[in-house]
Amino acid sequence: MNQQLGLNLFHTAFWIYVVSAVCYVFGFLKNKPEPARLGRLLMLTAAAIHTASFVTLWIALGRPPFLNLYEYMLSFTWAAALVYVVTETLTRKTSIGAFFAPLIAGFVYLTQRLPNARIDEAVMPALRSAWRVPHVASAILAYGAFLLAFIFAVLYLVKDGLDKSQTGKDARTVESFWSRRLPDTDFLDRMIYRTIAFGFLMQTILVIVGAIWAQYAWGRFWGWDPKETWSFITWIIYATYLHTRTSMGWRGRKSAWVAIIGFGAVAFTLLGVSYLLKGLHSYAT
Amino acid sequence: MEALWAFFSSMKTAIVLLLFLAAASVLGTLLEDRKGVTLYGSSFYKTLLALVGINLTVCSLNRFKLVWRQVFGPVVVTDRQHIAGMAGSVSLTTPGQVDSVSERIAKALRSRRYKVTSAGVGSDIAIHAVRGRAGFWGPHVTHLSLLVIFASAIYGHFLGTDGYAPILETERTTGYYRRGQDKLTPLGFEVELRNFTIEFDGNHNPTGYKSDVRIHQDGREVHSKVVDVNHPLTWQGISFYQSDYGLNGLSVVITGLSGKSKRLSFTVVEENTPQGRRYVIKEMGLTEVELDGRKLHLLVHNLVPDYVGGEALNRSLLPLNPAVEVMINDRWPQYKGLDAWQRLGWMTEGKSARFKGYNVTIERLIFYSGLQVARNPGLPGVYTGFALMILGILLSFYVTHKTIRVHLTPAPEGVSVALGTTQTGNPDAPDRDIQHLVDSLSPQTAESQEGMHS
Repeated sequence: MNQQLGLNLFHTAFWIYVVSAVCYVFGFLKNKPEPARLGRLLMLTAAAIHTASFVTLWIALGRPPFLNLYEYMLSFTWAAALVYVVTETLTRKTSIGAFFAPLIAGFVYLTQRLPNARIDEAVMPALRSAWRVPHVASAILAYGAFLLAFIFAVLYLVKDGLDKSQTGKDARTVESFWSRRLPDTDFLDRMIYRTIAFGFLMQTILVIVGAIWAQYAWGRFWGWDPKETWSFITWIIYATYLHTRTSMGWRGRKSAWVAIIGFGAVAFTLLGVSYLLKGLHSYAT
Repeated sequence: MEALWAFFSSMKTAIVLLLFLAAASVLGTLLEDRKGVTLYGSSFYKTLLALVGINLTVCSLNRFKLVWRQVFGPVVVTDRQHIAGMAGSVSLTTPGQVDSVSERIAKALRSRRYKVTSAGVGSDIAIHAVRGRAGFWGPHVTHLSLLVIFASAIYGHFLGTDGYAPILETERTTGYYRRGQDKLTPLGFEVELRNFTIEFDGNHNPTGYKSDVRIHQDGREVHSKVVDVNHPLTWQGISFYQSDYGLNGLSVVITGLSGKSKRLSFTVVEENTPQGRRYVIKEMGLTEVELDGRKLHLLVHNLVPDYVGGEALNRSLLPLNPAVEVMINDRWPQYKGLDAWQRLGWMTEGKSARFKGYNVTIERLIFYSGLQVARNPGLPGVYTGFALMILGILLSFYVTHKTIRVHLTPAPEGVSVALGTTQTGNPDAPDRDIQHLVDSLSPQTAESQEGMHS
């Protein structure tokens, strides 16, 4: 078991994600189940190889690949794929794959093109802590779930826009390309909620574990470091989503927009803070 | 006052405050990055946090009554209109007597893990069934957890302390400098730094900053620990965190032919440059020493932090293997010629060199360790809040609190049944329990209901 094998598996998974994306998209365009089924099979294969890559790296390094941004992205894309596979299995809706698979392939591509795309050999003293594993594990799961919520939200807006534009017209003549293929809005709305609920739990664990770790490392559980602050901002936005939904009866478009803004905050926490702002998490590049 | 209470108990206020807090935080990170201004300690930000706190308290108090009633006093509703207004309400007629239908329903509900209470009103029967009651507590526990964290953080802020204690190797301190203060605040015990070491791997990457710390009280050592990043020492509620380190000086020993020796101390100062921290020997490192009747001048200079020798000379800015260049002169200042300076070369800790029968040794490099000192009495509260928050969110999303209300009344064809349900968590999820009940009650409609299932 060595590091190179782990990385090779990751690169192999990338190409399978690409082929899987092609199948899903083809199935979607043709509105046929067979290519999508093949896409699903390939997605499962890619996710399995990605899992093997993750495990191999863990064994080779003696620690999970959670250290710099490259390792983090390698793990995040793995968790996102896992969250997707579970969601697809539970809901039996393969049409989402036409959007998720290209996105995950894109993220994996981005990971391989990062300025610092390598495994870190040395673990700096600040990162030598047992809290690192639950901290990063909850982060990849939270962000994987939020990514999925984002896709559901975008699809909701597309589908809902089409449904609205069709009201009053003869359903048969205007049944459009998209509306035939996308799941119904109720399903999408429910899925946004469920993925966000899971992501919110993970985000909470992420912030709490981070706070406890900060207390051990820096002597304070909260210090308004940019990464801390942005994870707090993300948390507030998703808390807003949950409150407007459960207490103010928001559904549909408004809720979907909150989910999209939330993912904007996630993306900024992950990449923007690392590259644009200075702070204690500066090793995460 | 009432208007104020109403304002703070409104969900709209909560959302607006949350959005303000998010916007202010975004602004905070940008201001800090671009202008170096910290927003989070400002009265504006504190006011915003306080408003969120008040909002949360008012909302929690407002709902307390409701929570109490929901949990401890399940009300058996006999009002049909109330049931009709509930989500997923169904009404149907089934053959049989009110009593037997009621028993069938209760049995079906119990088989699905519902706690069932019923009450008869005249010839009618009302049933109240509840499941996953813990889930109902979810949001309340989550909100309570935020208040606990808030209160504990404020308590810790006012009653705790935070500061810094720089200690030289082999020395002790009796106090620390509070943030923003120049005078030493006594600790009540002494902290000794035995030594400080940087551990590193084969590529000269640091893997540990270790301070061997001893605590002395009433003249004896009472505690010891090697403090490293992520491994603080705590004594009498005060924690010491590895936060900074540096080179403070070095001592050189010159031994003469007679065996007499003298120790010379040189102070090292730190200079922060864009590339990192550099170390320079203070005042050029020129010292005069008289030994065995001879005046010697020693020049200790050119400190390199990570000496590797050869042409590269230095490897990094980390003081992993500091070395100095040493020159000695026994004719200065009478003879000003540079040729009188004898180079002893690059010397690291423990290295010796000879000059006309004298022995020059770099005896010791003196590091200091900067320990962050903190005492936060609010910490147990904060951690309790953390635990409550995870519990609260788990209960909110993964334990569904469901209430099913049923009202039975005699009808010409049998019994007229009205069913309604409320649930926390995901109120839009199709309700399988109601469907199950409907199926069990109306065999004549079972087929069409099954059609809905698939």
